[in-house]
Amino acid sequence: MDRTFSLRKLEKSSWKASFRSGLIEIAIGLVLVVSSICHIFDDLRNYFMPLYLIPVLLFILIKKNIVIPRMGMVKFSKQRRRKSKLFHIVITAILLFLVLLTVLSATANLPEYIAPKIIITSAILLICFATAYFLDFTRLFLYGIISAGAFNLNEFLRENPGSLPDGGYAYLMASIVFLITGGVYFFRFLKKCPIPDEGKDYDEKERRKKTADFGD
Amino acid sequence: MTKRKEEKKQPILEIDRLIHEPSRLLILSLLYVLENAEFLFLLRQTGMAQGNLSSHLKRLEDGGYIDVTKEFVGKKPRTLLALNQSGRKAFKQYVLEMKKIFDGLHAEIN
Repeated sequence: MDRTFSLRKLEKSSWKASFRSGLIEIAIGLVLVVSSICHIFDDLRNYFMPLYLIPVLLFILIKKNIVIPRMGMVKFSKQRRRKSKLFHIVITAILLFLVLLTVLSATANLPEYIAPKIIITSAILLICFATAYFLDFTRLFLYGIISAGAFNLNEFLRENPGSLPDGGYAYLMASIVFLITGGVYFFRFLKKCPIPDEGKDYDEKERRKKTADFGD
Repeated sequence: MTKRKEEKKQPILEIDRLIHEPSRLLILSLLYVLENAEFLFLLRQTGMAQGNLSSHLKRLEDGGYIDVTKEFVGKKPRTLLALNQSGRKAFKQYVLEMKKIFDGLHAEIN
């Protein structure tokens, strides 16, 4: 066990605290559930598309009303915020590159069934890996591989119908992995970080309290 | 204190005791790497009891090492804590002094 005390480790641990709620896993899981629904009910796909907003809205609402009140607010150092800015620039560059690639694949003479697959797989992997690297969220490397794997399995099943049921179910299987992982993290978070009692803070009342002498 | 007594004083006795206490050292280390943090965040990160953390923060505030800002988010009060310039300077000084002391000790016991 590493028992060294380092400011860098301390900062990283504080930063990673926000990923311990399992909210990201739950959001990815829900995105995959919606993808699965869209593929299973392919004819009604357009009606189901707005469902993609649900994971985003749930993420924002749960973070604001459940996670932050239990974890507390924090403002990280300038270095960390610089890294976050760089992350946004890199993600924007990746997205622009992918849009460019999509346009090129539509205009250039590329095999139709290969190009979109490569673009979407690259998009999933690049975005997940960049996020994992810049935000020190290592689990996202694995999540990128699982999501890209689910997408490719889904495409394979669509192109080769037969023994297994069509597409969508690949997403559903991956979503179960994410939802279970996220659920475990979330319940652990709720248990470990209960809502603090009203009025119990570092306030005037507490400051006026006669305090014991700690260690000196 | 006479000059002779001052000369005899061991450097280890001159370390900043306000910082030297382990819990306060942890709080200051955390605040050193953050711009500011809510009381609740420090509570979660340090794993200390509420009263214990409050007491240590009070001592650090009295020592002039941290700034305490109170604000309201909606109807809920929020206490933000940040290490000020004097706290940063004292923390750096403490680390340097302790390094000197332990470098000497380490060289002698090995």
